[in-house]
Amino acid sequence: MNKPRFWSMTILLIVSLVLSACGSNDDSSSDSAAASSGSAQQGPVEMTLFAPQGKAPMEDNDFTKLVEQKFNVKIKWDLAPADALTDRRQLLLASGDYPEVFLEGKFTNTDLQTYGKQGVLIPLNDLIDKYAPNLKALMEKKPYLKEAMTAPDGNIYGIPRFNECYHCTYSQKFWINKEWLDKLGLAVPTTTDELYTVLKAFKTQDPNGNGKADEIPLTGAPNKSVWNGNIDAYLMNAFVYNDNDKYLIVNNGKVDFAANKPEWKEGLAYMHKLYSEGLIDKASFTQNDQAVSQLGNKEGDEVVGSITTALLSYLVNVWDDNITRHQHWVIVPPLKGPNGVQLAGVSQGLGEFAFAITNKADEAQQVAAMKIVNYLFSEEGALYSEYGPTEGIGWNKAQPGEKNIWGEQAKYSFENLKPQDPNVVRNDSWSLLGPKDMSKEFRDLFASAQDPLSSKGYETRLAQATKQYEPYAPKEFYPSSAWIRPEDTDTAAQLTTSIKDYVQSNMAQFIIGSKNLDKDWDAYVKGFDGLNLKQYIEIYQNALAK
Amino acid sequence: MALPDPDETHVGAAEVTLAQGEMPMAQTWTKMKRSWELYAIVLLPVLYLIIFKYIPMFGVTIAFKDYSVVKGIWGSPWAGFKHFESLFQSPNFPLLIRNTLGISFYSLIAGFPVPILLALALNEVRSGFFKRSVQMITYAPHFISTVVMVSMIILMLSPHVGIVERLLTFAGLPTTDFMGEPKLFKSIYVWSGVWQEMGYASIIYIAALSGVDPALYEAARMDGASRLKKIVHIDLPSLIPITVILLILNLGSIMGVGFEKIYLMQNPLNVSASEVIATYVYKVGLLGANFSFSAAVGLFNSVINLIFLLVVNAIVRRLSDNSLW
Amino acid sequence: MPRAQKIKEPLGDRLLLALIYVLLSVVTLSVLYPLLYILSSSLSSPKAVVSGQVWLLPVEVSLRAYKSIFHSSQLMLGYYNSLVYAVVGTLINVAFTVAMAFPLSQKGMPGRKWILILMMVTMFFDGGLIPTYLLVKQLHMLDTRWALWLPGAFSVFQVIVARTFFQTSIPTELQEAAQIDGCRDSRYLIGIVLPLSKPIIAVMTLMYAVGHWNAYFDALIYLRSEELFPLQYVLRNMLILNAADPEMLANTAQQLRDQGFEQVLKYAMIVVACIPVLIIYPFVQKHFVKGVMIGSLKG
Repeated sequence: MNKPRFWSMTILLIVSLVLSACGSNDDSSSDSAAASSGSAQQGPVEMTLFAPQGKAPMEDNDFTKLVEQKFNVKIKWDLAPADALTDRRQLLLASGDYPEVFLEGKFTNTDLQTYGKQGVLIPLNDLIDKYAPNLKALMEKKPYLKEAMTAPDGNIYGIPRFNECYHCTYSQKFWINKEWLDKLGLAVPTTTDELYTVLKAFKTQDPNGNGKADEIPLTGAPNKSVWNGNIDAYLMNAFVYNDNDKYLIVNNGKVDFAANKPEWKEGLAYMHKLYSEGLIDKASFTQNDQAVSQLGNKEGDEVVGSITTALLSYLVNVWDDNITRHQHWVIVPPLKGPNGVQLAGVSQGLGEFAFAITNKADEAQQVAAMKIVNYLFSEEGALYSEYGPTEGIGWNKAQPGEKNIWGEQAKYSFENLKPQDPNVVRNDSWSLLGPKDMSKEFRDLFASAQDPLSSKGYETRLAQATKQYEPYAPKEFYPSSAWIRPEDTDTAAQLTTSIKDYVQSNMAQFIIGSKNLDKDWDAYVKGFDGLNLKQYIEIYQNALAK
Repeated sequence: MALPDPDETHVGAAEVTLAQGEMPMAQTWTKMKRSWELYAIVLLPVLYLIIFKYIPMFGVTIAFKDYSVVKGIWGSPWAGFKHFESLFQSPNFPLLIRNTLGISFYSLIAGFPVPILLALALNEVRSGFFKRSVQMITYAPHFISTVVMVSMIILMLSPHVGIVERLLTFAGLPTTDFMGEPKLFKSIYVWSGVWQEMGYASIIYIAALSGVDPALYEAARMDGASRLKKIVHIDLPSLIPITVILLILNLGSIMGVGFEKIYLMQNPLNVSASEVIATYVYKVGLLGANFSFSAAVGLFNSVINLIFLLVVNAIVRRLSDNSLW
Repeated sequence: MPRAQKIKEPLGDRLLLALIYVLLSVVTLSVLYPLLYILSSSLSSPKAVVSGQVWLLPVEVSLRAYKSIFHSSQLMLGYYNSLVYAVVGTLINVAFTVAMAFPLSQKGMPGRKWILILMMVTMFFDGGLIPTYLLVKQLHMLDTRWALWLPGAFSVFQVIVARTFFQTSIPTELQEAAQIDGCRDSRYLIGIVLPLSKPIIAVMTLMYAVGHWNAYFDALIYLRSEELFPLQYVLRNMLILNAADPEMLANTAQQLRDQGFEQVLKYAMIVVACIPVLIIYPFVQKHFVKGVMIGSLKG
């Protein structure tokens, strides 16, 4: 080929590519909007839903087909891998390549606010009023739901999967080995002093009877691997309220910080005392869930006396009727501290929002989407979407005598289902996908095995355990779903990260003794100034004022 | 004006040898015409670079803006150095830098020689079966995902149930909570990394060693050189060019301490030794999605990396012939 | 030629060799143990794994995890896709890398310093995910296989390693001989350089292929359709879907509640993903054979 021509063609190619790439951004959004508004007249409304990938193709899913038929829609799925859903979602939003509707977007309220402000997500208030009476009724019934859904600017940008998991509300729990207590003639402790006595007895009096001092009186693990497994999640609440998240306390509507108070110091002193006498497992700050499970399920003699965690199942196997070790473990209600403080950690709020509609959706699509949401907030919709539309396969009507976790007659149950071929993947529901009503009232419709110690009765057991914590909830606590002001979000993110790290690492050091409470406490408290604690508190206070 | 010959070791000197009576420009043009095939060969990759690397490069500006999805990269407002400032002013910043660089250098010093030694040792082995088995086994850990790797590390080092504690107790040696000691964090991180990657990394050196002319070995043997001498005088020198280059490249990514492994290994006790830039940015990003902030941090890392590379390359160029350019 | 006489190895040498064997064995064993742990755990019952009974050999042998993995039709598709990505991708990678490295290694080429700089700058300054994604979209490569082949067509690192190899391993006598013969660059490349560079090309091939096989991130960004998903993508998804959600305990089906199944599954997945590559390795390794240089100077 002629050389000069070769070069000029190359340059031309490069230049044209550059130009075409630059002029890009707007085309995509106008394209899809134009395409979709055309289809609004007759025929099914087409829309794209963003969701995580399932075990089987979503197009063939029974519930999908039901929804498509019922609401005259044709769903196109934009699927992301389940463990990288937020990454993919961020990318789509950032590049302007997002679908009309997010069925399961896992938005935090900060996300909703950011994108709502930018106009990417549209306000849903009117749509809810007009097309989602079920949801509206639920919002009236549960004010905290309405509050959690409403942004400071008054708009609702996202709808959650409203899952009122009862045992999750009071999840900073403590479980103890009753067999050992009985062996040593001790009662379940009710105060911090009693706990000390019990733990000391566990350590010195050989309750597992093997002649070796191999007992671990109290163990735990970092919250990262074991839910509320860090020992202070439970123990600190006998001194001052510990929310195990932002370390905030509320008095008469005024927000304050807990981790620099004298009561906090007392709590640390108590835990340090226990630790230095070998009553708290060294590994509580470093082990992971696998280590905990190996510790608890060890063959031969039991070695663990008690554990701080939300779920006993981390420590001992509760699912197998042949394994009975878990049966002699009991829940310990909150302890009373030396100053009479006796609190349970509360976690009530919505972690994330599943559903949102973007500015690419035309009116027909918005209405159709909201009608589907309304259906999901009805009893039938929630039932079918979670367990499949076919009776006998995913769910059954309860027989008389089948009761729920409170001992009341249930409406649905999972007994006597048609046996499933384990090699065939069931594809009939939108399980744990999208917004729906899974409120307490809904969940209470389902039967649960009544014997809390049976392998199927674990949820009953947890519910009963949680009931014992309910009376000790603090009068005021910081709501987990508070909306941070948009101008504060960046600062809040950085401050929260630094302060949380600071509190946690110092707490660990005070407890194990590498820092001394007499000598180093003041320096620790002073350190908060450098971390802008004042601003931190202000930000969270402002978030409360609507 | 002639282009400086890249093979000159004199820094900056543009020494041009003129053939009899030729003008420098014409000489370069001749050279270029002669090399036209080389240009043709290199055209496709260069095109790729321009399209896939240079065109998107305008995205670097995100670091200097307040990125808004709806406005896109072009439309977002400028924010100057705001994000960089917020990074530098964060109270942990000196700690983050110290940990990031500390871990990086430790990784380099510990991890760099091991694959080389492994390659040299394997080179001596006669038995094909042994050689192949060792290679295959040492290169398998590369495929273990980070998540599984870290959970295995934590499990093995756990008090009570971990195998390390059991072995030490069996041998009568003292034990401790390894993952809880900030001082041990870097060592655990680095040596588990060496363990995982040494086999895979040694492949390049094994390939380089296989290119050594066997006649050299025979000659050395005739001269009565011991095995050790052979390794030192033949094998090592043959590895020097590639080693130097790899060293320079590694130093040029000194800020690149990946976040996943460290994040998984962190716990409240070792945070002072384990918090690096990447984990900090991740945690902040979890709470408030700010693309501009992470872009700014990324850019900062890149600039530091570049400075390192330039400095190290300049040093190496003074000392030997084997520099990057 | 001297007689082919066996020269006896001095004591020092034999000791060194013995030492080398010992060290290598120790290293190999230390690597082998965790690998065996993974393999054994993947073949054990969840209960055994969870209670810490598995040390070296499988306990309560159970193929449940493997059955669960192989029953997924998505998995076979995943294997197939990863194979396709790896084969074509590696070909593209090696071609591009050699095409970049060879000219850069030729001293006589004017302007090569600038090309080198052009390339090295991209190592540091990266527009980031968003512009690259937009570009791929513009080029209509989204949700196609090309999105996994083109954006990462070659790695600067490999180019530099290859360039170093070309520069140092081809003896200058050979180069001069070729020049005297009036050999053109392309013939020189194909006829002389490539055959002599088998080791480095083998290494490159291996590293790129492994990269494709393990790839997850690019698939995550660019792919939407299920028939294109590579192995790692499918595996990770399977893992998530098999994990029990603590908020939904009562309703979790029996098999999901099996503590430890998730752990066994994770181990089995590593084995499933890793075996094919380990099988290929010996074939690649054949090319690291010494003596490639023999005969090249003569004739």
